[in-house]
Amino acid sequence: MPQDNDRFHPRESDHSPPPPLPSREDRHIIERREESSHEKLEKSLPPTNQAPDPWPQPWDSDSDE
Amino acid sequence: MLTILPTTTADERAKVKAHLKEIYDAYRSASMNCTYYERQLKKTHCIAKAFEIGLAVLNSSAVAAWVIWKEGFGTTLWKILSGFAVVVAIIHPILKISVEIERLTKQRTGYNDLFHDLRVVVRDIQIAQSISTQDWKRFKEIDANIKKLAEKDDLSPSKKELRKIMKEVLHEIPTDSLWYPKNASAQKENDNAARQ
Repeated sequence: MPQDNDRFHPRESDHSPPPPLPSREDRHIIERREESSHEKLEKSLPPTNQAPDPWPQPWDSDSDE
Repeated sequence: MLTILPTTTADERAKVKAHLKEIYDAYRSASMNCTYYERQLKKTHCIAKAFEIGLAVLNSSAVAAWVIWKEGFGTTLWKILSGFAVVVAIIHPILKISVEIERLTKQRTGYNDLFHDLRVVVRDIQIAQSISTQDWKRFKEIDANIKKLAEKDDLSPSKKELRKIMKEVLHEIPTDSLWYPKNASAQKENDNAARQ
């Protein structure tokens, strides 16, 4: 059961206005940053059980190709 | 259907090969993973058995009553073994060996099913000597299952072990047994060789 103490109560003196919302340009930058961090995470994921070396292909020995 | 005719261009052949590469790689990787999980499962079963036997022996009052534990070095050894039994009893539930066995069993069964599904696709390509859009569609469906299984794969499998299994797979599925679109002159040579 959540206690009332767990809730966030702003201090009485804390009446400063909330920070302004990011502008459209800023939002684009934030979105781009989020995308790139997501890409980085995907790249840093551990490898799955894939063959450690490439499998040979039947056409590898073809001299014409 | 991507049929290969004498008039087929090199570009078209390259396109077919790109599709075949994905299918053949997945086919052989499924076989490799199936063997890998089979062996991991055997190893984990052995460890689980060793844990159970060790605990049962050390907790047995009949073994504790042996005279050898009451004289000289036997007393010290029994103390060490008792301490070891306590440690094993503590870490045994933490290791969750039964959960690991369940995961390995699922992976093994999953890759085995994938291997058999892919074998049917490879066999159909072999028989038709071409790859149809239907074959590719079937492969894409199987590929979705490969991705699901990969989520529960071992995070750092032994590359040495995988390379060893790769060799075995290449022995079972020889590379030259897989069909691919040869160019017209190579196909003619092959046909002549087959006739002789």
